[in-house]
Amino acid sequence: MDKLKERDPELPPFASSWKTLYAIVLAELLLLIILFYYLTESLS
Amino acid sequence: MNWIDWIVLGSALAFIVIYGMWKSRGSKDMNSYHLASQSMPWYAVGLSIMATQASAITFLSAPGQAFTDGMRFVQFYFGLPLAMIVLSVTFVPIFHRLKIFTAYEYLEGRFDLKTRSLTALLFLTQRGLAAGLTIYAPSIILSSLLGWNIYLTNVIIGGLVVLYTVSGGSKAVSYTQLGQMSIIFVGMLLAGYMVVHLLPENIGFTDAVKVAGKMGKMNILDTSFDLNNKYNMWTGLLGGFFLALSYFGTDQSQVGRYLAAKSVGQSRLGLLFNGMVKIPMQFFILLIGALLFTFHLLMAPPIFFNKVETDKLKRSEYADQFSTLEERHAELSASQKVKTLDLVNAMKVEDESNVNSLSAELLQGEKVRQDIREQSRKMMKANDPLSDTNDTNYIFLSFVLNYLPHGLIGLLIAVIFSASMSSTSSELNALSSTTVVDIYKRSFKKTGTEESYLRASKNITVIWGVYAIGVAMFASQLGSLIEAVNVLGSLFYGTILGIFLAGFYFKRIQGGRIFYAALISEAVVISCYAFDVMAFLWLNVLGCFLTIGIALLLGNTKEKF
Repeated sequence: MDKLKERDPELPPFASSWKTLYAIVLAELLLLIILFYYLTESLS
Repeated sequence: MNWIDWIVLGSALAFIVIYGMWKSRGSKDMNSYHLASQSMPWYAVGLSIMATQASAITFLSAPGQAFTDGMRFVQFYFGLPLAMIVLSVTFVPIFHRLKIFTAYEYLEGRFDLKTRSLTALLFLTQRGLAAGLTIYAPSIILSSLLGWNIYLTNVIIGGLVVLYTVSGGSKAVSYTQLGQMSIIFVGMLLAGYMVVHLLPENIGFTDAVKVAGKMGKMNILDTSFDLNNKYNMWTGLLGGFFLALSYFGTDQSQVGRYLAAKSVGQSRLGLLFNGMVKIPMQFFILLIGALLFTFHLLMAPPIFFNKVETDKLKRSEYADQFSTLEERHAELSASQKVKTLDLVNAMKVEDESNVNSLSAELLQGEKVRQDIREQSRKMMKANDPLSDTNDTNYIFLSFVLNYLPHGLIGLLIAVIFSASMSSTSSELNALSSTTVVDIYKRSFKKTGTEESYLRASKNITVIWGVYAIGVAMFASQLGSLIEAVNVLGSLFYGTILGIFLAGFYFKRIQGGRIFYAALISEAVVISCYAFDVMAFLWLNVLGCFLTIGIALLLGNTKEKF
């Protein structure tokens, strides 16, 4: 597994690191769930 | 459809096919034919991944599903962004580093040839049948609503796909998908705009959403935990995560898409783009269905949206009974319209007691409508036991054909064609890659030239294309087998994911152990499905954990296998 791990020097163009980009994806998911909760509660 | 629609449809399809063939000219070796010379930028990879997943049924069925069952289906996709992150961290760098053509190649290096061959054959069996159904599903709906010949529709959709997929391979697939996704986005945005635009003058978007909410269609989030409920937040997050990880990580029709990227980083960006856009896109498509529900409270819907079935009833001995039902339904629709307008007015003046009583009356009216629909279904079955009594997939297209202006109808039919062709092309390209790389080149002709493998790849793409069109031709005779074929892939996904995760994360698991663990796990998963032990999405989780767990339990028995 370790041998297979890619030491990828390529940085993402839209963030300082891949971890930041993963955090943005997770934050969007969290925001969407909160928005859906609000919509479900307020419109039902 | 009139001549304007035919021009729009014909131009859209011609543009896509010619553009794809032009951009992919000069595929001269296996790398360019199966991996697009690993030259694709992230946005093309992202759109290609989305286009592969979204078949015509996605756009036909999702609005109908929101119309009948509300928007809770969106939760099904909650696990997808999480899966995109895991794929970016683990799968993508490993696949790129090994410079493989297919995901199954990895398994021979990590385990053994029989594990690689087993997973490749499982993929070919399931995906070959699925490619046929990807063509058949929109064909049956278009032929029913437009009176087209279903066999000709199958041949046109399948033939166009074979034409550019054989000619340009993976690059043609990716570039045509760019055009197809553009048409899909524009078409669906215009359809959404038109639903609101066609509402009575004093009713706007917010009013329509509020009415849909009062009718229980805005049930987007369900936080309760229930193993047997397939659409709640937890099933979506956990079951959806494992399903997405299996599909995007181990199904060659998806792996082939991001292996065509320029670099590891471009593959990752494509996957993360999919992770960010998929849920909002699905939400929007479902919202069209919820808005259509409000629209049909104000504009009388037919009792049943599949006109072929109602026409059959009108020509049968049940014609008089059905006519009586239609009269009852028309009276009900008129009464529902008045109540809906009153409800909107009550909402505007914030008259809560009136809002509550009118909502209750409207819900009661919808129960009566469901009763009328159920009676008509019973008549259909009594008249013809083989009749299709599920009209969910017909709701959106029925709106398109009956209410949208000419030109836009042609564009929306182009959306259906594009969605079907984009999924089928990825499937054919992946079927060809797997057959040539994992079976033909590995086990039958190990010392061929690059030209001979390229020629074989093109020939095998044609064979799979003809096979898929053949499955589409006979699909109408498969009956309930269609559902079984659709379920088939998902029954194997969890186990196959278990094999890959064991390879990536469990050094201790070696050689043949994983092969036998997978066979045992699969037997358990199929038994659980047969006895309806849990909701469908959880089978992916079960298959994955069982495969890894059994392989670990079998101990270090590499020599015995």
